[in-house]
Amino acid sequence: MAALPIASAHPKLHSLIAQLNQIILGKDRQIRLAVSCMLAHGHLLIEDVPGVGKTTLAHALAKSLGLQFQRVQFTSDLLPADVLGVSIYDRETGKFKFHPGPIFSQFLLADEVNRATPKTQSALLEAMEEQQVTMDSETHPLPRPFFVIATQNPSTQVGTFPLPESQLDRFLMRMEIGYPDRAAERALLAGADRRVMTAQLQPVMSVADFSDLQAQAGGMHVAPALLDYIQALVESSRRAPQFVSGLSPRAGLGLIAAARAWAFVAGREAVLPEDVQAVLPSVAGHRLKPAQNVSRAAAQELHNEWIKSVAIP
Amino acid sequence: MPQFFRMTRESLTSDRQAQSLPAGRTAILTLLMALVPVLGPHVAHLPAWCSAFAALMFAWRGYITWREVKRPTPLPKTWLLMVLLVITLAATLYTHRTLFGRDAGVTFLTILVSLKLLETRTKRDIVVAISLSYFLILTNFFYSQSIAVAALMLVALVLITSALIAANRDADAMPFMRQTRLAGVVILQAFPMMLVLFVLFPRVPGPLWGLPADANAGVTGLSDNMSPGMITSLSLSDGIAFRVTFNGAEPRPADLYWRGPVLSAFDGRNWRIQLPDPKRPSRFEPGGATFDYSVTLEPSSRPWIFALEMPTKLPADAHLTPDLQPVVDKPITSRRRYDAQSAPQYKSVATETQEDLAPYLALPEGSNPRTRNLMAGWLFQGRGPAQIVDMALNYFRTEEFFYTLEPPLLDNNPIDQFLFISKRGFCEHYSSAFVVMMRSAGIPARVVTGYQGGEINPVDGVFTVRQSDAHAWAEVWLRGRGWTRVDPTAAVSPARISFGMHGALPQRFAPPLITRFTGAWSAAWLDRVRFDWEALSNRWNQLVLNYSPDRQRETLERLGMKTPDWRDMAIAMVTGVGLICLAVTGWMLRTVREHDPVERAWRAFCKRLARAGAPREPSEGPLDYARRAAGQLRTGTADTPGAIEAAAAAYAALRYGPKPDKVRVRQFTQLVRNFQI
Repeated sequence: MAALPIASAHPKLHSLIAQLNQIILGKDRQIRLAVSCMLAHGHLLIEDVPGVGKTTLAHALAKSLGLQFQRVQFTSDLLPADVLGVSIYDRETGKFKFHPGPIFSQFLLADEVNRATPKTQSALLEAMEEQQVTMDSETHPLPRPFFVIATQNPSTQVGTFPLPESQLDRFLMRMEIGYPDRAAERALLAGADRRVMTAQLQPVMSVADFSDLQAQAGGMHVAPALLDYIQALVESSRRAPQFVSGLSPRAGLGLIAAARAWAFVAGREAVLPEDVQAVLPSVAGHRLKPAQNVSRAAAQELHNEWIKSVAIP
Repeated sequence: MPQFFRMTRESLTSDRQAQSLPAGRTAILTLLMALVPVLGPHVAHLPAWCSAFAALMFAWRGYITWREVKRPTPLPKTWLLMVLLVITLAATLYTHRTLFGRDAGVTFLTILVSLKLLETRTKRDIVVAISLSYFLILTNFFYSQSIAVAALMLVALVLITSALIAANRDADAMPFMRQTRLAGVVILQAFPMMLVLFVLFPRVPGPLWGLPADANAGVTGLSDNMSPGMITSLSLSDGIAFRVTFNGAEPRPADLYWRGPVLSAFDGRNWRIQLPDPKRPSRFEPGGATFDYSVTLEPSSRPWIFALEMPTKLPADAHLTPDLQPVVDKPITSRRRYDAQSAPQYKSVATETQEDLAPYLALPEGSNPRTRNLMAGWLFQGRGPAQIVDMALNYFRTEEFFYTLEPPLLDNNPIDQFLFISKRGFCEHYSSAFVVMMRSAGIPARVVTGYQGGEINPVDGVFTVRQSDAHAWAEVWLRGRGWTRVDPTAAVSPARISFGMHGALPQRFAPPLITRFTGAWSAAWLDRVRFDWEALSNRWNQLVLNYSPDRQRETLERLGMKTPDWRDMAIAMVTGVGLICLAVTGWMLRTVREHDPVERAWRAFCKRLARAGAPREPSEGPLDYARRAAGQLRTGTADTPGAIEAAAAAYAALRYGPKPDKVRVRQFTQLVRNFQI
């Protein structure tokens, strides 16, 4: 993917990205993807080996946006109630009282989500999808805005429960962070402690400001020609023999939303095929399962080939 | 052996049933519908029993097809069809006395197609029936090549093609309208090919397709003899004798004497062309204005053509007989166009001797005594020939003569009867009586037949001369003046010559339908429609039907082929057909045609970059591509990379941006046009 213009038409968005770039070095593209995902009202799944800055990115994002932040470390003995909350009998009132769990926050970091049991995973993901928690026939709405960044270790690691496709579909994007390049690594090693830096971060915009940006991103112009391209992609994915199943209509909608947000971040007048292609690996990567069990690198190659095979109408 | 045959037939039958198709139903119904315009015009000349038979067979087939929807309905047994075939063949033989020739052939084909429909089970059967129907279209042109028939056959062509489409859509029948529209499109697609073949296919002289000898049988027109009532019957015909276009001025209506057969042999009742011809030709000197014109003559099966009196120029294969009748070498069997020139103010030259004139004085012995007595009386009064001519005309004028289409029948001594008793007649009576009177008085005289007048079409300035304009007049030989035209009909009814036949006739006569509207009581718009129609059919005649070898040569010469022979024509034809095929193939293989100027310009731009060494990947967005191309290209100036990226950005904004602004579109196309690499 070609280098992207750093400038953004929106000063606050620009300072957000600039601030994140100071924490996570040499990962401009991943930062933009994460911001785009949030602008598109989507949840983000970061999949990578430990220690590349998944948690730091999530934490920095929450801090920079001034969002109420919660972190849950998923383990194999974590129960749904540990995430959602629990109703406890109150002797004084003689009633059950709901004690909200960590999910009741504006920004939830679900660390190592694939280490939890499927039961706990699905409790989280259903709440994510519905933006509410129902317990004892009582419905508790989640706060707004509500973002989940889940991280997961590569599923080949021991003691993990990989998320099934149906759950993966609830994340708008899945991305990797990857190792920093040489210069960034050097700067990282030479620089201050990231944890301290993150703790000192100041919000660059209010929650209202961010909602406004979300609305603006959602209003990006999508031309019929671009819809043609998205349809061509979706249809091609359904015909492609190299994938188990094609992109769902939800994936198509997600693709448009993500491309809009990306185009908005890039400071464009309208969404271009380039924007679609920029978000496509993150939006489609976890939804298109290769028909044959192949390595991660081979799967990525498969995706790239597929994208190249679809002509822009 | 019989066992063997039965087995074969049974296996064939079961095989056929296995193949019978649902779409065949639509095909058969469409074909039945198509056969209505194909066979409709034939009803006029088919024997009545054949039309009835065909209608019955079609109805039967239609009924079977209709009933098949509800329950399986068997087609008639083969033996029954065989019996029908034998009976109808016998009837054909009985009616036409032959199985060959035009009329018998059409009857036979009609029977075959009717019977074929009743044994149509498989796709192969219906394709045979369809092919036969295509051929039947052609047979209509043996009878008429008018626009109306051509238009009707075009309808038939589309319908039969529609049936062919239905027959080929094995399982899934299309709605009738869609299938017929498709057939229309197919015919339209074939149109350029038809045009090339029409213009370039080497023409043979003679009528289209070499019509059978009886094609022109029963054509009405002037003949080589004249008996009382002949022109009368001719004058009831709407048929067109010929059309004339004057190149320049037109003569006065009173000068429009179209000279045809000159009749000088009389047997007391009928007039014939004198055979053998008198040795010394009549002579004349052209005087006054000459008129150039071209005539399109309808086929008459007669070896003569018509020209204004007197022709000074005729086509190469024509000449004037000693009687000054323009004739050609061969009978006119197809519509023919020729150029001629005439001088209506001609002066005859008297060079004949008594011997030359003797045949023009001959009268049968003892016929028409009262006429002879009358003329003997006038001679006895000592009148000169010129005076006798005037006296005769005066006689017609002053006695109670009537110009009528319903003359009484005349038996023995018809001239006596006409002159003294009935006094009612048509032009042939007057001219005939006048010539007999003249000959009785010793004045050489002859009957001239032809056409008088004609009607000018104000739309295209074409004169149309119909059979109803047929006329007969007289010529007398006067000393010092030679042969002089005298039209006794003009003496009785001057209006005949000035206003045409229908100005001269009382209104109670019913002239032919078309000419009826030309009278004073006609509606102007009707005239207008009629003139438009005639102009159109004249154009049709000139351009389509009259496309003879000569016209083809002219056309090809105009197209730049000097002295085209058949080889050049064949090459041109193959080239033309090949080009059309190529164009059609190209059109079918074309990638999506760009109507959008932005897209067109962008594609041209990408093509130019590709030629410079940086082709666009199909999946490459415009900005990505521009960036790659700008970095990749080594040619061009320092501004080139910037120009490429600017063009791509402009394209991206136009194609994916919100409102396509005309100014920006123009700017973009200009940017691309000015882009140099």
